[in-house]
Amino acid sequence: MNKRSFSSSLSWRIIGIVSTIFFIAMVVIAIVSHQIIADEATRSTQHILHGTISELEKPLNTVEVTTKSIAAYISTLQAQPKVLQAISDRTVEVSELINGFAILFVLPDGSIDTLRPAIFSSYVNDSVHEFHPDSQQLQLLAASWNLEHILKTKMASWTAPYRPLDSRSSRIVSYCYPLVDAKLNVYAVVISDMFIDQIESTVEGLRPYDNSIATLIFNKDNIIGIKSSDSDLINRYKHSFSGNSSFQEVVEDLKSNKDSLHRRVGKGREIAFVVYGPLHNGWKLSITCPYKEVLRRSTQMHIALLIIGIFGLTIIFFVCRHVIRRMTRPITELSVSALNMAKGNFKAKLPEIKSQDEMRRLHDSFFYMQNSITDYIDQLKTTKNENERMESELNVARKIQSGMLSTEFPPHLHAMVSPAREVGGDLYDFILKGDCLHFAVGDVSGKGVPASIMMAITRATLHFMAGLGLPLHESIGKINNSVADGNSNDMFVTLFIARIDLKTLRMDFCNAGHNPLVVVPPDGKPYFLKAKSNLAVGLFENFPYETESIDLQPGTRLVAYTDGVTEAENAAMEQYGNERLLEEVGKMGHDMDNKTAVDQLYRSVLDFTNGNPQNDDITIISLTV
Amino acid sequence: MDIKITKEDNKTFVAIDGRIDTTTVNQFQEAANELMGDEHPDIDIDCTALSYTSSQGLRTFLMLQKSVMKHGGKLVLRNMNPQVKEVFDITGFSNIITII
Repeated sequence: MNKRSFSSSLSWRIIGIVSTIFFIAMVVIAIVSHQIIADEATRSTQHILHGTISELEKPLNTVEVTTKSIAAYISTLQAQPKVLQAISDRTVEVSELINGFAILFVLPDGSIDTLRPAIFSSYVNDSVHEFHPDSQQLQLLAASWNLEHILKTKMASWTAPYRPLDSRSSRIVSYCYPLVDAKLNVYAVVISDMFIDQIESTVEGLRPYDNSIATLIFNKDNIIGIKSSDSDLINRYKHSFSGNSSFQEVVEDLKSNKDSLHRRVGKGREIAFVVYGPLHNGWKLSITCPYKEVLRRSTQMHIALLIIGIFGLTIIFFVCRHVIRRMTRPITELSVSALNMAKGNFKAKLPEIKSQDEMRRLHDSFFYMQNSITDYIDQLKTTKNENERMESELNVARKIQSGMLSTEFPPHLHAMVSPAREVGGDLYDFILKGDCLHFAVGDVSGKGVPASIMMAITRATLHFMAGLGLPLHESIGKINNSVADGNSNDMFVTLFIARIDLKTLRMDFCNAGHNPLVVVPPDGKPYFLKAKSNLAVGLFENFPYETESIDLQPGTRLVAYTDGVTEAENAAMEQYGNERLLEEVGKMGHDMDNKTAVDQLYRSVLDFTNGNPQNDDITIISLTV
Repeated sequence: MDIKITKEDNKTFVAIDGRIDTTTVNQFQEAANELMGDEHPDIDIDCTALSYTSSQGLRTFLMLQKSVMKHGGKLVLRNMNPQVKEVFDITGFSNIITII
């Protein structure tokens, strides 16, 4: 069973929903912001790249312009070697950028003109030095300048960095400008040297992000920008290119002289973007930035946001739980009140509710229910007391009624009454007066209290009449008139009265609508006494009743009863019936005493009904003569 | 118990199906009360399907008889089965109510 409280489970649900939304939002924000930041970083890096390219191109342009001017001057001058040497010396002395200058004469076949010696000047430690290389040194320089290529293309070009052969300390790059004669043959090449330190420091200082790498590519074998101390960086840089063919693609891109290029390189967590662009002289500048560094701050912000979010969700959970617990406290308290009420304390105190919401309605309903139940229970108590009073009165009535029916039987007679309710409408009576035995059995229509009142009247009148010694039909007639008078309720009494002269055994009888008597002659089968039915008592005044007579044999048993016997029903709604009655009476021996006979017949009725509720009063009388 | 009441001209036809006992006597009494207030005094009751009547049922038949007599009409009970007829005979009701 889930024992988690309502407030907790509701809070958990709220937190579940809120955190789901929060995390989805976080993921979306992270993806979008990373994209934006990466795009922005690419753009700004490209901007930096172009700025740097312009910056790098400025001294190159200066050198180129200067060199071209001097070259033009030389070509028109056809000057003497001395003059040329002076121009060369003067150039390195005056120019801030050009620290070395040379003029090399070549023959039309491309070989170096040995008749016209090359002129070399350099500016070292604030003074001009002249340099006269031997032929081997000259070959080395020609290689550095890529002389063969210049002669072939007849185009000016910049060299890759190389170490000068004279006393200059730093690496240099040279601008080589060919001079062409009227036959379009190169007859001389003018060379201006420039230190590479400044370019190097510019490139190396180019770090828009931590761990980003800027490189200047002169050709495949000459790359500057990666210092030997950055060995880890070199490895990573190489790794980022070696994972795929990206480096080759970058080179291809650069060869195609495209402008504003960028690519994504590397794989896994080491991915980076690289932006690159060519300088006007064919050199290429590239900047590689690892995404990890670019997004570092944004990632840190996301982690901070996540921590704040989790912290906030925790606070929301506790606040929610607290608020819900406070709001639902009345329910908890009402349940305690309900439990108290269930234990019988209907005056259980209800919690106070100040709000005007559903809790208030629940409280009001509860209050209403409490009052209703209290009222109902009070009413029930009153009713119960009333019932108890009536029950005790009924008990008294029952005693009075059973007191009316004599239980001190003369010899040879026994009777019993079993009312269906507390009081009943059946009656019997007997008087032994001299040799005359009067007896009567009657049944008031209906049962319960109304029948019992009628029964009492009838019984009293009957007993009174028996004492007067009137003919039976007269007695019944008087009883009839007495009952019928004022009988607005149309109740009636079936009555059988008889008088037996115990000496002559002559029985006079009058039947007012009652069930016929069972006669059991000695050594004979029981039968129903044939009698005029007349009419039940109490219906019509002055009804002409008739008295009949029969002579009984000694040893005859008479059994009188009410319809409670013959109409007793079992659960299958079958009636006891006349046949069964005759059969049961037939089982009684002549020597059986009347009490046993009555009990036996009553027992057979109970056996027949087998616990089915008795729905009418039962009366049985047995007498023997 | 089922009581069907139909009216034709000045005659009321009633058919009783079932038992008139402690549980149904009130229903019968209510039906009888309606008939007693009726202007058409002749009542014909078909008792073919009446299987039993208690003494309280008899009382209601009696009240109906008295009411019909007062209005100058006639109450007729038809096709009564022998068991029910016996009750009417024993109590002498056969003497005051027409049973055919």
